[in-house]
Amino acid sequence: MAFTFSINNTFSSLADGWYQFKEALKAGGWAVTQTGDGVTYSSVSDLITTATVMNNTRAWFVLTQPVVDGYQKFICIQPGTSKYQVRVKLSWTGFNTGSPSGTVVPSAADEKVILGSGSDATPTYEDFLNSSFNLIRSNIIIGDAASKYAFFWMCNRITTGGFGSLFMIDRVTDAHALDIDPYVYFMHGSSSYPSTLNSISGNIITNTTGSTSRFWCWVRKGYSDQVFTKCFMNYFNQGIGIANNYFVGLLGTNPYDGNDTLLPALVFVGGQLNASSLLTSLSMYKGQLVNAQLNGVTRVALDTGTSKLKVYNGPLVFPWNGTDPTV
Amino acid sequence: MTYFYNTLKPTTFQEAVFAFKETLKLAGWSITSSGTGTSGTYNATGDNIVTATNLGVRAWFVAAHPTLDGYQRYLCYQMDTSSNSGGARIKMAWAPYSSGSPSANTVPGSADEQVLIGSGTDASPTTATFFAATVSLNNVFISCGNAAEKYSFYLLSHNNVTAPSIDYVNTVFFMQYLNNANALDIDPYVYHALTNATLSNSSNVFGSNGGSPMKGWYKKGLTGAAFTTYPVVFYGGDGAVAMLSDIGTNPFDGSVPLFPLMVGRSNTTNNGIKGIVRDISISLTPRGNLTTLSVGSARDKIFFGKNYVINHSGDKVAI
Repeated sequence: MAFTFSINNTFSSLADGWYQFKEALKAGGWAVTQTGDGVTYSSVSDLITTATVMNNTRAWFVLTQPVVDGYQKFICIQPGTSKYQVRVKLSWTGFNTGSPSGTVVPSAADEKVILGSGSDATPTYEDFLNSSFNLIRSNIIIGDAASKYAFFWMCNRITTGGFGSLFMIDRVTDAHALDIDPYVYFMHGSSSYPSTLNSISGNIITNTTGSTSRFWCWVRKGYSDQVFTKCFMNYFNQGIGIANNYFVGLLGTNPYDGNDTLLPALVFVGGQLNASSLLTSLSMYKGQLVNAQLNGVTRVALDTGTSKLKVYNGPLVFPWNGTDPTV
Repeated sequence: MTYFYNTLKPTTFQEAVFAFKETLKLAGWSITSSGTGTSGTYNATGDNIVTATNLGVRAWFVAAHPTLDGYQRYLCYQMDTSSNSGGARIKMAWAPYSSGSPSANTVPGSADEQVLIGSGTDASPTTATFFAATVSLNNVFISCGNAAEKYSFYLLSHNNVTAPSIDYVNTVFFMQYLNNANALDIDPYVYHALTNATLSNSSNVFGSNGGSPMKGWYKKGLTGAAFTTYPVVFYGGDGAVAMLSDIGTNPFDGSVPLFPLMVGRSNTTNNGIKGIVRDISISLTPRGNLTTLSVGSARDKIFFGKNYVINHSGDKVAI
């Protein structure tokens, strides 16, 4: 398992941020298979060759994951006019329908919108990046084939380090052998950093109703009753009925060697923590994230500890490359 | 890897305790001293409790497992101070019971002993309710592993009056080995002994609000060592809710999802993960007590406290 790191980056514009993200994923093995540069549509190639092109109104691109265990994922990204907002769709069959053009994204039979709303023809965008490009520090980590092409795009507030935006796809272990999409998907940000991601109890990773969770996954994908639904992260409660008595961020260092304890990130769907309207009939344990973990000790954003092989950001810990991050 | 089992519906409390002692011996434990109770006899080096009826008022025995990974553990079990009642006073020690003034009805002392249940002193013990007060209400399940199983044992007694719901477990008593403990942890075990007063369901088998959790050593042998409570680490969100009932079965195959039963302390003193109880899992799909599961072999797991699953003999369970 290896990762490609595109880290410690700043942007020359918000459009440059999207351009850098696209280029980083290409360097990590993903392909850009369709684009609209705001004027022209290409069904096969990447017309967005510069950040300037990306800055065109309603420019968009589709990223395609290499085949993993027989399946692919497709991500359609269209930043809004102001570029700190975005509309993002996922597909598992490919964006091969609709009426794509230089400004209109294609459709997919199985697409799911994870950020933004509206329609392809009349999209509505949602905040993701800080509205001031010069306040953003970008770190992108992309897994190789052995890491199942998981990726993490983390944006922090420059200088202070506060956690602001996260777009990630991670694989889970422990998934059932019949689960053909053992992944979780997360995308959330803010136009002003730090965002709620910066807090352990920011109610984005987990909350008591699940209504604000930004994690998504499939339950029984490929079956007639398949559901793409919100899921949530286990926090390891100590006792029952005790508020704020969870282990994430509060466990403390190991009493024997003083090292931080990292906790497995277990993902559940449904259960009594989720609003009943989300899902009631197919509650399940989805699996354990392969690459991201939960912290047992609260650290400032972008702390890497002594090994520098992990980086803290909010309640999560991600792979890192052994160097000191630039805040 | 071998477990020794004994399941019985005792007609006296002595039968249950005697069966427990004999099961420990089958698994490799030895009785290092014993007393048959008031007006009885004292054996400073062995077991003079040869039948259940030898377990008189305040009768006692000390059981020790062979040296394992460099250490031994000593269990001191004393019968009720009243005739044929289900109370007990139980101590654990990690140094031999070689002090005090042991006699037929007085247990010995140990330098590092910890009382798991009961109170008072060795000379003037106070026993606590241990089994259900009416002996016929006890369905006793005993297990003890050999060296390969780290000599882990349990004694569970389930109430059969409330059948078929059988949601009541009277007695939970065990010493259980932990996986994933720190390499410097010389006592990777948890210990638990609870009376029948509070054990109605999953919320309090291991303590609602951490009220009656398992116990274990924090940094035994090192500076700051403490014998302390180790709550179950429940699965749940960032609020005050633990998932114990709503995850359901696996949507692909209908199996009951079992998760590691981790113990640790957070947001308090002596923080840290102690380890994962090797032979007990937590199920986020509750089942009635004594429901069996077939995981590695037929009926090799059994529910207690609705949400906990422990090793089982494979026998069909009849209440």
